[in-house]
Amino acid sequence: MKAWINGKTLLGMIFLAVGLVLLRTTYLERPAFFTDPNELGSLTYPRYLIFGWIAASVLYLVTPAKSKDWANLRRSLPGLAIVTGTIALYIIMFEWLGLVASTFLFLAVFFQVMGYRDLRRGLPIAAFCAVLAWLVFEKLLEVPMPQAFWTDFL
Amino acid sequence: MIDAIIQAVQMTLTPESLTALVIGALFGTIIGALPGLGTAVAITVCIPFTLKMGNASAIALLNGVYATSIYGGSIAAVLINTPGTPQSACTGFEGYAMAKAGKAGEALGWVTMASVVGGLLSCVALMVAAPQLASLSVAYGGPLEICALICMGLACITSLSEGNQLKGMLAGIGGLFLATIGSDPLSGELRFTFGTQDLVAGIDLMPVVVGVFPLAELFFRVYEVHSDSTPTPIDCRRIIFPRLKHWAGHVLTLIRSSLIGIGLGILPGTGATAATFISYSTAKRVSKFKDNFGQGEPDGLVAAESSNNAVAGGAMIPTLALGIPGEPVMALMLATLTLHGITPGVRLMLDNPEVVYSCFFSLTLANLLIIPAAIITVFGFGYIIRFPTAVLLGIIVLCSILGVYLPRGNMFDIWMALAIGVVAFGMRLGDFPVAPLLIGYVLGPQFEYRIGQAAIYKGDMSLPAYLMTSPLAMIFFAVSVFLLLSPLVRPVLGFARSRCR
Repeated sequence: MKAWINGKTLLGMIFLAVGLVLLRTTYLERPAFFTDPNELGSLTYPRYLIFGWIAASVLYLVTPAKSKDWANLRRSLPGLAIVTGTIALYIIMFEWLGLVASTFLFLAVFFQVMGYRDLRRGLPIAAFCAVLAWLVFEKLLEVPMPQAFWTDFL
Repeated sequence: MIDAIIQAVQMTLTPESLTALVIGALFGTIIGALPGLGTAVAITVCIPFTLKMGNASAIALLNGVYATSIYGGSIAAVLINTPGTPQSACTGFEGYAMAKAGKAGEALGWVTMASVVGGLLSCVALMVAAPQLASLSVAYGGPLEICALICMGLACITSLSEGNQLKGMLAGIGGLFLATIGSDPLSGELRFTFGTQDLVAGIDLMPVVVGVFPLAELFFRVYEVHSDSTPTPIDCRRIIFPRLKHWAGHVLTLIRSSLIGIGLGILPGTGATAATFISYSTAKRVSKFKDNFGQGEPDGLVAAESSNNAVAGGAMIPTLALGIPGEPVMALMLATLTLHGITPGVRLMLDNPEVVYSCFFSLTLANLLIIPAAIITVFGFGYIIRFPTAVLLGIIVLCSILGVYLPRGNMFDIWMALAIGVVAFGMRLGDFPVAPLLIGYVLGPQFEYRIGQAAIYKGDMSLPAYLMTSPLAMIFFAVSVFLLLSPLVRPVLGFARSRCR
């Protein structure tokens, strides 16, 4: 049992399951304009694609797996999770704190996470990048950016 | 014709026009190099300034921005694996690999020269054959022909997945499927939105490009830092231009890719991104250096860059001669010309040929200005990439997130880019090629749209009868079938040959 379910088989089964779920969706969603199922409707083309996906998934499942060493990934997984989490936090802050504050905070934290601990250089660089981004995008190019929540009170 | 050309040269060589051209070239290169901004943003920013200029200066400014912004995207693609514009995605495949091998200067040299030569070839070809090419594009630009042409581009997915055809196929279908999310291009009906408003307009190109390149690259760098492998430092202080003798072996790719760029530029609705992918994948299949593709092959850079800059001249043809914009950026150019009282169309070639030739002439100069503009911009970028890894990666994340946010001002796009970045990183670890995913995503919407159009045009005709109406489309379809089947046929032939021996 352990030898049968390896990473590749699991991935192939996930591909197949995704394909089957999507295929089911194409039959559940009723097109509004074309009622004749044989007509070229909005779901005909995606349905052919999904059939192709399912066929490729089955082929992927039956082809022999090549051995791969995942030790490096296991070792770097905590680091990857922290970096992904920091970016996710930046995206959330971006909407609430606005461009300048969120960018400054993100870069300051990101430098620490990535092992750049020199605060005397790191903080000015973070502040410079945040102000430069604000100058270029908000002032020069006049791109409407999310505003900090406190601007409503001012 | 000669009189019109002389008049066009006089119009363009005024101090005002030349200043506008130089400013446009520098501005275009810098904006192009900033991820997410791209040609459309650069031109949109310039439109208000053109209103205070004369016709020739306005055309010069816009052409300066147009030609160089397409090129500018490649600087970021080579140095930080973050394509400034979607057209530069293929440049990243080879350019970044060269940069990692310590050849960033050489990679930028190839990119710059291929861009200049591709752009110049398109200008020369079009100055000579503009009216004839415009009428050809109308005769052979039907949905069936374009559909067959895109089909040929999609069939090249197999050649981009050497050794991993099945994984490439899965990635390609995944890309095609991603492009179907949102509204149907013909009926406008919603598909696969799962009840969320954010997916109604589909997944934008920028989250896909940013997810596949810079964010996946960021995760890979973090992975390298925590694993045994050593991260590769990238350094670039100046562009190293290839010598004349180094061009031997690349001339054919240069000419072929430029012709693909010109041809696809003329066809309405295909655009520079599609042209780049089609010429890159064609080069990967037929180049004599094809085995080195993906590991930093200059021939790949020549193919991608010459074609995306050749599109600029090609797209001008239907815009000026017929009033049909070849790509979205051309619609902006068309609008600006109309604001200046110039009405593009068939009459423009007859009544004001000097305006048309002035366009080509300023585009030619803009292509030549790529070289000084590149030297200045690369100097700035070369300084940035010498920053510590943490600082550089932080700046990459910042540019990526702003680049995704800018086109639509949508927070959902940023989340989508992050999700695609994680998936692309997983694909990279699992040896799934990412190029087919992008090709599928870029060509998918056009392919579906043209299939729908062709189905409407077909009407009650049988499919073989309809195909017989276009011999050109039949040739393209035949080549597509050959490209798709060749990876299957090659091992069989090899086996048969070994048995014979």
